[in-house]
Amino acid sequence: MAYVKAVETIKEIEREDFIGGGTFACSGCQPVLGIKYVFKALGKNAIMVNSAGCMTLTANYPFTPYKVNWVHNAIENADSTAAGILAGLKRKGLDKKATIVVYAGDGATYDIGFQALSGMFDRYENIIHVCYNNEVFANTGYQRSAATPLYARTSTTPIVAGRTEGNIHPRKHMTKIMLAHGAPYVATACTAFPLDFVKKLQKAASINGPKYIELLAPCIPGWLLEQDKGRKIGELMVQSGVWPLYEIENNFFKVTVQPRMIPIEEALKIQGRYAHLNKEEAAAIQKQINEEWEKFNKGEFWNVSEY
Amino acid sequence: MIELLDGNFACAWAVKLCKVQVIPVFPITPQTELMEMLSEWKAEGKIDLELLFAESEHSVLSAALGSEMTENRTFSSTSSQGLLLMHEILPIVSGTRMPVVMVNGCRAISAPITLWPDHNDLLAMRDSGWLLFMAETNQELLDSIIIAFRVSEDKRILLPSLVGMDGFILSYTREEVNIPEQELVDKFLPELKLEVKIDLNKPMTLGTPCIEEYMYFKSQLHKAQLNALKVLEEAHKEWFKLTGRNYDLIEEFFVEGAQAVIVMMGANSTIAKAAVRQMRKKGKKVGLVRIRVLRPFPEEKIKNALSKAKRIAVVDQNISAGISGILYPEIKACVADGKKIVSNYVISLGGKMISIKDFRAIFNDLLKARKEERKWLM
Amino acid sequence: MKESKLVAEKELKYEGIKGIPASITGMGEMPDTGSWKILKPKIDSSKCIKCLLCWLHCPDTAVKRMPDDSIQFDLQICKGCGSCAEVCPVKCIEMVKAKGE
Repeated sequence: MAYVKAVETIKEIEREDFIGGGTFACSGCQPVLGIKYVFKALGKNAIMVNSAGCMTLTANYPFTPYKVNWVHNAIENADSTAAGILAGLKRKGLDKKATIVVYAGDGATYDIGFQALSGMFDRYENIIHVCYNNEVFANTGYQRSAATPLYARTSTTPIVAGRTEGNIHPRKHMTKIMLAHGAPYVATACTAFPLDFVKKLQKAASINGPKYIELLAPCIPGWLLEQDKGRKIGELMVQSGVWPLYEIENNFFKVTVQPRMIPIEEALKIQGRYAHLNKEEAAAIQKQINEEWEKFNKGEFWNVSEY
Repeated sequence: MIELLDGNFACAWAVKLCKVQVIPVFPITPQTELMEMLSEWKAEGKIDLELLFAESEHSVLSAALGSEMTENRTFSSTSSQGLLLMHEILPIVSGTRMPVVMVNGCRAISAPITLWPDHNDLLAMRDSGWLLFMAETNQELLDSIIIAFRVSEDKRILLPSLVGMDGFILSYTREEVNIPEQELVDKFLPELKLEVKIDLNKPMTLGTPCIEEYMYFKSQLHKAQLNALKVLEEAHKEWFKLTGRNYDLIEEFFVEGAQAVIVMMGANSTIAKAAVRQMRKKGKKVGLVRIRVLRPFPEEKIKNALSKAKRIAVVDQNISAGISGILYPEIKACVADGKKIVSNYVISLGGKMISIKDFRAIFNDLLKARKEERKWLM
Repeated sequence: MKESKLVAEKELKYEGIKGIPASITGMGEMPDTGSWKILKPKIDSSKCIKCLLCWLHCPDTAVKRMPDDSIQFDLQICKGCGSCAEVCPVKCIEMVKAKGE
């Protein structure tokens, strides 16, 4: 896989943009910002395969904002299409020149596209899967997905009189699942920390095999935020420890941004989707985050006793 | 070179001769032998292609779409449940205008689950925008795959093709097949050249969503299907010149002067033809029209073939529950003139055995009929 | 929206690759997303420290990075989200009324 020169500072990040403006993404949308970062990290020989979702709206015939190859078909088969493209490129001798990246939402990764994702990892294909996680099925109206965290308000777990818990199921732990597939590289990222994300993409591009990067990309209308707060909320979620930033390369776990551990209420209560959070719920979340970070700070990602 | 080949083996030969580059595949009875054959050949170094063992048929067709987009000849094969699982992606492949060729081992659909053949799975795909072929013999199967690649990849078409072979009757039964030489196929089938594809030097956005233009794209797809009527004719003529084997959109068997004609598809036509010969010897004026290409629908040819016949039986090896066999309304709409009797006979669902005697019974019933009949061969 | 009219099937013309739903860069007119904004960014260049954070965090690539690392706004693309003003560490970007641009 090829990528643009490895970067250490913001100034070194690729100047050229491979996605332009004029998309139908919401004003302040973080997932579309994620696409910009992916191409800045991987360059013009990146081929992006996109799952149907919010990012479908970036192009609208005949207009396209992309200056690179962008392929779009159904919601649940982005990984399989990417595997087919890789097989085709191998026949043409171009698989070392091009980098294939799948850009799929959390619904298309955790839920409906899980089979294709698992199959792709099982075949050990040389593809990067970036999951832009806005923690809901955003494009269809912010319904609950398997990535929706505990107590969040969504359109299918609404807050009404007599029912104020929001989402009652904890979310699926995808990074553990993808690591259990034997992936050589698994990482989490956030659009509020672009340099960290770009470095992780470039690291992934240099590794042979299937890579999984989960990008926290706050959704302005879905999380009931103001349009300029996308970055700020992402930063707060990282600094409170709710969204840990780490990478696991060949089973070696490393935290890449050490959070200040601000109280989780500071990060969550200001989000519209958590405005209903009461003291017990907040305490439960804080306890779970504290336990997780106790483990992380010891350099452990998971305990054998957990399984 | 003439060899005894079963359907799966004939497909493997066609794939080798067409120099297919990528084959994503998932096993399902009755096509498993095809992928086993290809794996063995690849391990022995007899063919050089990329075999992708996907985790489901849905992923198989998605991978086929992906690899065709990189301008590589792609092939796959499946059957009933697998074809139905792929159904979401079939219109995506035809809508993106990628010329993938797929072989379907026609097998009855669950429930109840069975392994034996009928045509419901293939016919469920008639609205998907794919070109549809149905083979009667393993020879025709091998030839049809090569012709399908040529026609699909033609610039005037650029549509994927589905070639049907009856499960077990063709797929696992050995028949004499004349395997063409590589040079002959190279003369007939040029290298794949696509203009819309993934090219690192000329980037494209493939599968752009659209609103108002959707109808325009579908009209172009329809026009491409209609173009196939002419392009198939040209391809068949050239194939005849190279091999001496003559194919057409439909096959007319003893239709001259026939009073009663059966219209049907698939491998059971061989048995029906034997019944036609027997009855013609006894002086009964009967004939058979076999539909070889169902999409694009050969309306003119069918109308002409059946213009003189007074009694027509559409023999369906399939059923659209609640109306009739699936071919029946399509054929009837094309030939009924208020004076002909057009009846529907449903046979051999789930591979229920059918014999020459049964076809004679159908012919006799047709010759005796005073009005349109709907009957099932139970 | 174009007016619809009835066309005979045989008069529809097959238009080759034009009839395939794929786009090349530069094809078609860019949607006027600049008209979405209610507020627009205004920079006091004298205070700008050229940290490039606004360039990095703009979701629509409306903040252009100049060769000397100063920045300029492309108001035709800008949706007025305010991410640039929010992230600026010296607060030299202000969101002002866009006046129906």
